Amino acid sequence: MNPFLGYALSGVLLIGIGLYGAIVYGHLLRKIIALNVMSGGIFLVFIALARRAPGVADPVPHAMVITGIVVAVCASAVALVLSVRVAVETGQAALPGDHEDRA
Amino acid sequence: MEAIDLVTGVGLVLGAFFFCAGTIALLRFPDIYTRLHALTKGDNVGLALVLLALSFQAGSWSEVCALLLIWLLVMVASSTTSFLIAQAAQRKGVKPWTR
Amino acid sequence: MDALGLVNAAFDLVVIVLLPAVALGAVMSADLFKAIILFITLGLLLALTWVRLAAPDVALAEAAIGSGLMGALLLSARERLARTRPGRDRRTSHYPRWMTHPPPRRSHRAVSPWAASGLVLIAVAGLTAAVVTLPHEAAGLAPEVARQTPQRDLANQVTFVLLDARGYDTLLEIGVLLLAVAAVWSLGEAPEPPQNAAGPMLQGFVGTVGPIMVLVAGYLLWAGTDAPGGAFQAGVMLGALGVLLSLAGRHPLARLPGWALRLAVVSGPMLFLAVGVTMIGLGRHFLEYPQAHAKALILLIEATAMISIGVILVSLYAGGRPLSDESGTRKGRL
Repeated sequence: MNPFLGYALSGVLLIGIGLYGAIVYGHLLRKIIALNVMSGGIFLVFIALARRAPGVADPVPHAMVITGIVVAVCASAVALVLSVRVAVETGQAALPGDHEDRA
Repeated sequence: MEAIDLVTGVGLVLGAFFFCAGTIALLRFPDIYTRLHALTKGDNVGLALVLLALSFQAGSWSEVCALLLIWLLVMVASSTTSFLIAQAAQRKGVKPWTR
Repeated sequence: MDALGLVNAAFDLVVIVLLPAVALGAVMSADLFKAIILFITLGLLLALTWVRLAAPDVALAEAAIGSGLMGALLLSARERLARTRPGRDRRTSHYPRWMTHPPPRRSHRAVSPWAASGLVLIAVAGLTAAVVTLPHEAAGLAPEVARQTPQRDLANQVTFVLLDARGYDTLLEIGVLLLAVAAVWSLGEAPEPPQNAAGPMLQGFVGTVGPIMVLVAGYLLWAGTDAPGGAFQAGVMLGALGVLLSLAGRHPLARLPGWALRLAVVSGPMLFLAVGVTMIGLGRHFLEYPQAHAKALILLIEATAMISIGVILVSLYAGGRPLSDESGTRKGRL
């Protein structure tokens, strides 16, 4: 039995969870974690759909996801350094207007 | 089923038992030091049994060597990390559990 | 369904259920440290998933980056945030007041969790419908790639797609890495490394495992043309080694002079670009490799890209401009 559908739906749930966290939480580190959960879900949908090919899996989404993983970690590294800078400048690790939960 | 498959099966089940014991200890033991103690020992023996069982199924000696290498690397990594976790706990002032 | 199929299905079911459960914990744990640890766990589960979905190349990248490096980045950022005391570190900066002094809370309202859940539910429903209605068997581009991939020289189709068929993407991606380093360096100096962190145990560990990691990186690079592996996985391995070395108190990039560091960072994309442009000069398309030399050229590009990626990842982990710049003439440089 091809398990791709279950994994793809799991990926959709991951996207939803990440999206929710990115909207609701004020703490910048939590937003970054949530966005990474979301990108993990997107990768999961991609790779699961690539598995639909009979025989060998479709290598094009694989290559795109490898690219995506590396870009995601770089973007996250920049975001983390930016959030440290925000904390240094403003004294809090949350965006203005967001309720900052305890770190 | 051949005898060698039986040996593999027994090894896998025994290995899973040790993993299971380690995990139960992680959930049930009272403090970080006892948990580390149970987890590292249980997992190392469990992993050794699983890899030993798998090496009976290996097609060549190089595969057996790869399995052995996995075991050695995991041993080095897990002993280092458990030491670091215990050291961090000690520096933080976590007291060992006493009855 | 035979016994093996049953075991596989049970395994799939466990992973499929665990993924969203761990993701919920990573996003919603009250304790930030717990959230980060659960996020690392999610990365490892995803690596397992990639193996189950026949994507070993992705699994290698995910295990090293998605959980390892991301975890290290998150934990060190949490450390830095915890050390930042409001007021104490506040600079008398040249930024306008409205940027550094957030407006009173009541002028904005945080998004209500209910509204957010509604929005997310709509998105999830739409995505679910899209996924379910897709045909359950589709070859995608697999036959096309299999037809184009040269059989003997580049048997790993993922590497073929990354460096030959979609060379533009990969070149631009390394450009993104470069931009990320520029951004991190321009945001401030790297923090002082903590003094008491390095114990003899960690140093011994790095001494034992470090050479093996270099060997594995070389293997991944060499084998990447016809087995799972490649420049990214190898570069990440070097990056992970650099992070371990930093944790053990031997900062690998601190000894490099500034120009050498910058050269290492740009050499990968520059060589990639140079090869591409040379091909135009030889009357071919940009990034089109002649069949006879494709493997040699791709290995050359991948080797320099590996070093660049490794150095870039370590620079990102350092979290700012290298400290070695502090002593010299820093003004006006990046």
